[in-house]
Amino acid sequence: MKIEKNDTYGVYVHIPFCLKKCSYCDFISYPGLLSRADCYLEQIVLEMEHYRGLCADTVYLGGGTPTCLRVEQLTGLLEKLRGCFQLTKDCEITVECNPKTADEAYFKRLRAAGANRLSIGIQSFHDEELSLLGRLHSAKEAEKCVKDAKRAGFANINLDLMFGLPGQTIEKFFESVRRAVDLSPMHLSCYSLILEAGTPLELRIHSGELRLPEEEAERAMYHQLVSYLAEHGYAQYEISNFSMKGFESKHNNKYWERKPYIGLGAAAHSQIGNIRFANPPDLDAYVKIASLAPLEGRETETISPKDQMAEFMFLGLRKTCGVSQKEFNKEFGLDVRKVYAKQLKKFCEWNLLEIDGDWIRLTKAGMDVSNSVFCEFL
Amino acid sequence: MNRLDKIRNFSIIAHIDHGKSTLADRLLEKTGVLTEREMESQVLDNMDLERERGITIKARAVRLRYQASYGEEYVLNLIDTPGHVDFNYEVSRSLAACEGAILIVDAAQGIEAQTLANTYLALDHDLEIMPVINKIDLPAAQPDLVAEEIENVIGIPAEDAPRISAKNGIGIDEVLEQIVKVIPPPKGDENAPLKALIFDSYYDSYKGVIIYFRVKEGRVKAGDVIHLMATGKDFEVVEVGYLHPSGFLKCEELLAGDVGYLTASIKNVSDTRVGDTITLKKNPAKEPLAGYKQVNPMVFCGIYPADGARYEDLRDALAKLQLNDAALVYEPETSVALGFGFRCGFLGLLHMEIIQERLEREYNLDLVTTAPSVIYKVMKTNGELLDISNPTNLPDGSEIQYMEEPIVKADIMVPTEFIGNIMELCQDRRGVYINTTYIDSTRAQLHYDLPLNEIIYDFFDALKSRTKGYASFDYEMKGYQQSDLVKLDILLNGEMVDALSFIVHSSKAYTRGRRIAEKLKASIPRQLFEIPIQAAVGNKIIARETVKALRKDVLAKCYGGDITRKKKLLEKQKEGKKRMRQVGSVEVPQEAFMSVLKLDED
Repeated sequence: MKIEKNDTYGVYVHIPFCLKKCSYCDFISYPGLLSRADCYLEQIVLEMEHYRGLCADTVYLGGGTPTCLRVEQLTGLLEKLRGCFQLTKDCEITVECNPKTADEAYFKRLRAAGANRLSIGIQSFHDEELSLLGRLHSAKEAEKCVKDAKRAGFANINLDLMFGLPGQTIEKFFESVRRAVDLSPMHLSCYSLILEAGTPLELRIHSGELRLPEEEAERAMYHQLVSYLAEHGYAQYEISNFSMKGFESKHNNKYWERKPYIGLGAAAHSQIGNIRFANPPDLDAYVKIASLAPLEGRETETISPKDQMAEFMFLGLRKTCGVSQKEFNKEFGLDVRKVYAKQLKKFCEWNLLEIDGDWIRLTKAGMDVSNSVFCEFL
Repeated sequence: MNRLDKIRNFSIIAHIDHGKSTLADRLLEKTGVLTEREMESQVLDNMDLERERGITIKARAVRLRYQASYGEEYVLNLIDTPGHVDFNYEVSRSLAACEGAILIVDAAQGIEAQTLANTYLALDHDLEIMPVINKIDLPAAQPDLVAEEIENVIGIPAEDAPRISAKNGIGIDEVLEQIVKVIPPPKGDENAPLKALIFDSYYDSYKGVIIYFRVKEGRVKAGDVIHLMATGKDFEVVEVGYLHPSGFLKCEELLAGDVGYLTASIKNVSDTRVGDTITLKKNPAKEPLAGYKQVNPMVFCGIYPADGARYEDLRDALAKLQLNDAALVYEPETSVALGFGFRCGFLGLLHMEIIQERLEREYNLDLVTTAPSVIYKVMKTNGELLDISNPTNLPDGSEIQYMEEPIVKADIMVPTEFIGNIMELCQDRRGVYINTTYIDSTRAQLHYDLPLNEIIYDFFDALKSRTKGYASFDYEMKGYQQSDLVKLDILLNGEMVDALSFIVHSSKAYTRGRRIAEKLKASIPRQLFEIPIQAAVGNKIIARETVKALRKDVLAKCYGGDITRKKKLLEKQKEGKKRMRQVGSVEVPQEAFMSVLKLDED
């Protein structure tokens, strides 16, 4: 693998610690292991050494709950990152956080350490929904968190919301949406609840104890959300993401645009050129390989040209602007209309895709069934 | 004593699970031919499948040596019989090779439908019946009651019936003593022209076909040229002998009264039909033994490989199974929905299930089967008479003058408390009530004439579920009867699915069409467009369901750049689509084809 020195990278750091696992979560996170955080952070510092000197224009501290660490642990990490990578002037530095784990003072110190974007996991402004999701905070605490962040000087804030929750009505969902919009964040991520097998929430629904809203209702939530947010100045730029103009997430865009990124920490993924590799999710396993050279001890996938094209399509089509035919043709030297002639014909006929000049994109109907469309590009 | 006086030829008859194989094992053990350690349990049933199902599919014969209590040594030929209605003809030929039969009755369960059916079969062959009451060690055993039942229902004395536990080896000596005492020795002139009855044959890859037979008259040895009187084939005998529990034992010759095997470099079991008479080319018998008939398949279905690429494998597997099963017939057929496969004919339902299971297990094939069908006789308006076993071949209604369907005579044994349920079921299946015979105060036998096509779907399951599993069932062909039959077609998104068509009585078309539409609705996943499911008779739609279009199919948050995982999820989804059958633009999972085979569930 050749690491291109002249490229600009995204850097993702995974903080696999939480106070408590949420009922829907199947991400890699270990509640109760906070005592191991110092040792873990040391390993991250060793791991990043292999990339010393590379230029980065986004940094993303995700989790888990990064803010469940002590603030000096996070600021220390940011300092190390700054010392290791050449961060661009306008570098987007995002920290994920959960209400109740950070207050104004905490945010101030993060801000001072260079963080300039916060992504706050609000999920809902109804306490009963929050407790159903296994969140530790209340709606009130969520509001306070956002206000604290603003007071601490964060202008670029994302709020995460979820819909399609058990027992949720359109009305209830919109109460949450309105309260989120009232806090005027620059960015909103709104995810349809996906039940992951084996999570406590999935088990409760599977057993019939809880019921998901009807699909029609769930889709109505989504469709009304898109219009409501548009009316309030938030443009949809990806299936689940909305922002004020110029406040799209630069880091997440890298995934959809197949730009290179470096993942540090347990379970973190990297993509450099046509190689994607993943750190082991287990803490001990990660500690063992952290200091090894990039591909060593890591699960590695060399992306075939066919898969590169498929990824170009199914990642790019997540964005509302879609994929550029010119860009595809330039990158692969093949005509996208020929490579995917069958799929494009079928899905355009079925009104799930549309071709608009240079752009191929999902229609509104296509967004609802995007998986069915994507999988045929594989 | 002459030679014949020291021979006893007998079978064991019983209802499934009443302990036939276990008693056979004990007899083998007691006659000293096998030590316990050497003995694999249930040596007579040597196919795994048979063992698992507790039934015996192919008859075998074993020679035992028994030293009677007064010192005389006897040769006991135990001829095993298949225990199921589908193999009635094979059972009848095995019985025809014997002079007597041990009738096992379970001391806890008493007489069952097959006990009676097999006993009557044995009585038809003038066999001496020797009742044995088994499982006397069970807590629920009521041997006195069962003995009384045998006397009352079958009308044979049972006060001397050995009361045994084959499982625990209790009373086996008494069984052996009684075999010698009760069952008559064979008769037959060893100097008359050869007449030997084939009661089983199977293909062995080393020896070719091995024929099991009973010499009724005359003698046969290696080197003789035999003539098979029904098939007309001649073969030179390579080897004669008998089956010892430990394997084949060659001998000089077999004489009238003997039971044994021969090999003659025969390639095909269809040349050695069960029931045929073996004689010698030189000095042949004038007439064959009575009772030969060619067994014909009664139940048909289409069998397709789930993976179209394995068509050749399926063909080879069927060819191999047929080597040992002359009753299995098949011919290639194609279905628009299922591709290349075979229309296969079976003796009955169990036979069909056994073949399907053997294909899946022994040949590791994944199968899609169509609904079973019977042979309908179709009189066309132009006077032509057709046999139709594949609904797709049914001529247009305007060309049909009338149709006939096969009817069976069914005997259903049932605890009296469930008589109502079973009558309801039989009525629902268009049965014609004949009468009821009471076995005792708790059990009765219901006699019905039933259309065969009503019992090939899920009659067994329905019977069991309506009687908490207590009913037992037996049937035989009665004949054909004119009937108001129609072809029911299933349309998906307006396109007919040939593999789902079937022939049904017009009074049942609506209910069954609706049920199938419901089943299909439940098993066809939602797709990107709405799929109407229609059941139609001719041009008339009689039932309709709709699989609504998929409204939502979105992936979770693209998390931390784990695109590999996301791709895998999409790949899995795509794989799932691949395994489905394409019917027009609709993707139909294999399960959908299978789901319509069990309509009685839920």
